Amino acid sequence: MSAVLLSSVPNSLSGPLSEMTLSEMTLARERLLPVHQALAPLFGLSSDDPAPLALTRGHTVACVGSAAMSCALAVLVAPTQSGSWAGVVGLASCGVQAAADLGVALERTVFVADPTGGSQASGQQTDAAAVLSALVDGVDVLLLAQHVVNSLSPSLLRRLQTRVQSRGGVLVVVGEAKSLTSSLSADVRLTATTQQWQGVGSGYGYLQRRQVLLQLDGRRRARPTEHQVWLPDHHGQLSPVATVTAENTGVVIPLRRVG
Amino acid sequence: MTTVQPPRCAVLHTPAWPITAAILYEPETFGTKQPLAVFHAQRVLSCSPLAWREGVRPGQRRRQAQGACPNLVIVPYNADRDARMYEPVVQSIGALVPLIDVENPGSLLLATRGPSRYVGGDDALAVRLLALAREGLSHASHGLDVDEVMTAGGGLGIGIADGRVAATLAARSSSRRGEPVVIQPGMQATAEFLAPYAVKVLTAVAGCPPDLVDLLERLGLRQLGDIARLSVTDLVGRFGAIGETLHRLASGTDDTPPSTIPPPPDLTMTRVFDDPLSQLDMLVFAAKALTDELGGYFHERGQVCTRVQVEAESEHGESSQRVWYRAEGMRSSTLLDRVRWQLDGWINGAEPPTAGVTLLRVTPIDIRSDAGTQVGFWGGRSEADDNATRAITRVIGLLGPQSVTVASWRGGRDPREVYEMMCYADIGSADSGGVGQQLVLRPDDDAAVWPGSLPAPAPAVVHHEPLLVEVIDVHGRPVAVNGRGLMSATPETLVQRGRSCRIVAWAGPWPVDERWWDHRARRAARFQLVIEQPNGQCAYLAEVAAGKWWLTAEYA
Repeated sequence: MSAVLLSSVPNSLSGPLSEMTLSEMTLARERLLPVHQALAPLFGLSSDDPAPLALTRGHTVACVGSAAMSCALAVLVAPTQSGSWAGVVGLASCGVQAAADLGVALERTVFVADPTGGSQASGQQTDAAAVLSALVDGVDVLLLAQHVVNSLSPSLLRRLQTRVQSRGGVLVVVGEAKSLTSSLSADVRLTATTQQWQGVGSGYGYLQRRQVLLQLDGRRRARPTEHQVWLPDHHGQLSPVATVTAENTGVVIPLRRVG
Repeated sequence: MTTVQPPRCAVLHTPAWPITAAILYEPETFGTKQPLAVFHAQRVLSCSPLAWREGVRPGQRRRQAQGACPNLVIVPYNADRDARMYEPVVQSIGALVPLIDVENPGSLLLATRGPSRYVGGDDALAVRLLALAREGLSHASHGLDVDEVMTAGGGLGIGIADGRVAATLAARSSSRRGEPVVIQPGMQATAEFLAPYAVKVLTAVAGCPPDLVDLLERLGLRQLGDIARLSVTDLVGRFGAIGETLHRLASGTDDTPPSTIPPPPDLTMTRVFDDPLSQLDMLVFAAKALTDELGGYFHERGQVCTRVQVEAESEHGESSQRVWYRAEGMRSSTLLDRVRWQLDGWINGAEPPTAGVTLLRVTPIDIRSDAGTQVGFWGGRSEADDNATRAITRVIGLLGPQSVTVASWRGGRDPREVYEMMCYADIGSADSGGVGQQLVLRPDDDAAVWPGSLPAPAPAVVHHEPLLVEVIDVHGRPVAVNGRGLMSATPETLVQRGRSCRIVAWAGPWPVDERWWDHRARRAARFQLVIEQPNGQCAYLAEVAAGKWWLTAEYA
């Protein structure tokens, strides 16, 4: 049908128009990647869905705060489990065991050495651009370390984000809020703040679980949303903190006469 | 039904070839008098007759095998070694028969029509093949007793029969009996030979799916004879297209020809450089022209190359030779990858050539017609996998093979050790015929927990180069841990790069005393420390070794 429509379009327009028509002919569901069930309330979705579709393809997600690394790994969980590939660039210190415990599918996760080589030389820059654009073409989720992003020139970073948008991937940047380059315009900013570690005392116990306050902010969002999670819980996974609300504390089940 | 006469085949079969290969390769380490077993992915792949007698069986877990036979010697799995050590046998038989189909190292198949007439009958051919195989083995065994090596590898069987299935079964029974088994030609004799075999053998011999075999057994068709007695129409009606194949396999009329086509001899591509090349990029560029030409040749003929030999020679006569195999076939780009990996490994490896490279030669060994690969619809290989593989190959080309890694579980008590980072280029995919290292994604469910490993959760940031810090007590004195694992005082403050933070919670010390038997010995005491910072709590995994405190991981 589209071929018929296109053939009636004047020749001078057919090139760019045909591309536009085709690239916009994707279903809304296909423009989204899943997130972990426990993250669903942040995106204003119900947490009943096992794999809520909330991550818009083409977006840049910045994970910041004291639990940024765990938070970024938690973002990778649902997409990799549902068949997407993830590339982790410049994060040699990434805790692979923590990632595996969280549920990241390691069979679809590749770890790439820092292409910028930690230097600002121009030769390295072109190399980094080629490497990152090759990865964007092949993987759905690209996790970048802060120092990789900071060492890219602003124009290169913008080009990378444009490419991510056209390829329908998601860029996840992990770092600290204050030292992240200002030229990165994140669509979604996830701030993970450690509230409390549990399980360890003064000289006894061991680290068991951590309560983290996740705050989601971003462009085109009315106000930031907040959600409390265990990241990690005592199995190393991500799980929601069961909130003790007035309804389920004060409920008294009345006794009935039986027999 | 049309009667087809399957080609008469001879099969040479060594039941436990990996064992034989290991003995031939490392005679000092693996003796013929020891019970040996090759393990792959924590399971017994093959075992020597001595180990078999003790109760070790292929498919067992390592613990079960060691329980059955405590003095079992474990041979590491190495597909390259198996293939390399089988080469002399193939070459020796190649002197008599030009076209040999090596199914896998340890098992080869040849059509007997020509050779049998040449040596004077099937019995004479069997004797001759046995002699040739022994000769080939004696070339490879440097002074070892060939008989002893062969016995340790479960003997050597030769079977001659009509069709691949019958010949393979004959060879298997021959390796148990110790003499060649020749089945008389003709459909009647073949069918009689096949009839008593259990349907289970079809999995190993003809690659039947195990669930089909299971179904057949449940239907009461336990022997091949049971299937052969049924009519083709009934079998097709019940099982579909595979029913006909089943009938042909069971009645011995399977006429699937050996899959390889002999490569034309002029396909060897050689490039001689007048100016020796020492830079990898230039060599790869030269190799690209070679592989493109070769890939184009195959593409025109609708063929793919599955096995190729790559050879490079330096000005001083050093050379690097390797055979590469890819079950899906190699096109020009995948072929070039292999050439590049080999050259990179040679030039940047442990024994680099002392002069520039003067010669590059690519010889196709196995060629088959290109049947294409089907992209999976449900599960299997998806488009995303292909896209990712393409992107990763590109990145490897830009940054080098060391730069792209994947994680493979190895186990250990330190968070740095639990997962090993393996080069993506070295990983053998499940369908590449087992060549290359295998990825272990997670420990087996019933694998024992490493003694001394930390319970979950694991730290999200692991410092491969630990950070030096100071931990002091209330009086500002450094906290020390003595040899018995006792602390001098309660830790109060963590000083990191001149900044001090209060320790709000801590646990430990958990002493580690690893590898005390060799030079990699390590003694340390581990702690978990939680410190208070303006933006919240931070938890670290710290280590005290030789009086110094190090932060090895962060629960970020």
